[in-house]
Amino acid sequence: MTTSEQPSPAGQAPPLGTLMFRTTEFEPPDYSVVIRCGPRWQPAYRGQYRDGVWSFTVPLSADGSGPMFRFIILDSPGHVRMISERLRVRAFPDDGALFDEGRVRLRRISRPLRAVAAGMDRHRTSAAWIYALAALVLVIATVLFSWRAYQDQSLLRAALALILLGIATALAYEADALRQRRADPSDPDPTIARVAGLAFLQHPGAWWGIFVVIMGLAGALIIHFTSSNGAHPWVLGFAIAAYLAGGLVAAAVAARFHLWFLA
Amino acid sequence: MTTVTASASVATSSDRLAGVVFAVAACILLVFAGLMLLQASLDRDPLRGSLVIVLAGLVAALGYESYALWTGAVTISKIAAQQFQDHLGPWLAILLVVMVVLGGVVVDFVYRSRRAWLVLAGGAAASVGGGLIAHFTGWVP
Repeated sequence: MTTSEQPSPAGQAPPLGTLMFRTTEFEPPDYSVVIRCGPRWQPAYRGQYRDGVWSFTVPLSADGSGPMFRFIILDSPGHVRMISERLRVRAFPDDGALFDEGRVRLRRISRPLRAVAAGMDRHRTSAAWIYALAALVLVIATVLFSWRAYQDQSLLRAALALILLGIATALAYEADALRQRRADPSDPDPTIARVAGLAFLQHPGAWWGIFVVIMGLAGALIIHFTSSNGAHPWVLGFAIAAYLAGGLVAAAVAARFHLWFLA
Repeated sequence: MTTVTASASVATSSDRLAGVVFAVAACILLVFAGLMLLQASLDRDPLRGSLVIVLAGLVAALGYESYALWTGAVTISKIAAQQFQDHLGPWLAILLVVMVVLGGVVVDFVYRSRRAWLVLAGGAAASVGGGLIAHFTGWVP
């Protein structure tokens, strides 16, 4: 990675740097190389090939350090063939430029894995419909609870109707975000999962604290709600087992741990 | 059909203190909802808008809880506890579904971080901690 500019002071636009990938194996027209970088691995930068080197122009951080990125090797139809490990370039000044270089390890994407990725892409539309359907169900529930709240003059039912309406709105947003694939290149996929994931990456301590408090309250409430006729600690045990099972299923289904950027 | 007895109709001083705490919590959430509404309208952000609606619902619920504790009316805790006691199976099923979804969502949200498993495990540990505190101290959230 090189850049002709010195690190910019905080508050100024970060400098552009050039990432170069030297290879004799992956050349056009059979192959093309892109990189993805940033906390959400967005956006993608397409490389320009010349004399055995793929070159990419990317923004650097304000302190001049390079972003975390991956090289992605595509074949001529545009399918992902290989990806690199996560790389972070730590540039250092050298004769007026920032410069660093190193070897890149590449991992081949197997055919079954590519098939899963293509399937996930197709199922994106299905997922959008499922979210839309869930939002509709919640809207119906909201109307019913609102009607009951009006009839019974019940503030509690009205509160529940509001909460359901808010969740329905969020689900509708998610369906829209999944369906549209926004045209904005800097933020082409602003799903709730990505927004939340980015927030967690930016402020892990704060969100970790909030999450721990919420989960602590949840545990206390489970014991509190089930202890009116003798404590039922096993309910809490079941709930935590279900929570962990949900996490494990999500991690397992998410070949997304490795494939999310292929979709 | 569930009936809730009138045994909670007398508010003690500790109930009233708890009512004040819930009222303060409701006020904090109300301020937060107002700020979020301002941001949502400035950015035309439907996601923040949905959060505002959820927060408004929570403010109403906390406001009700505060009122109930202050006046001796039936609290949300008692209603939920009564429901759990009368219909253990359905509510247990709902709880399990919610917790499965919660675990999945947590992993989905944080899987880009290398601390994803730590977050998941931390949530479980926090739940156990909260449950133990509630069980052994009688602390009621």
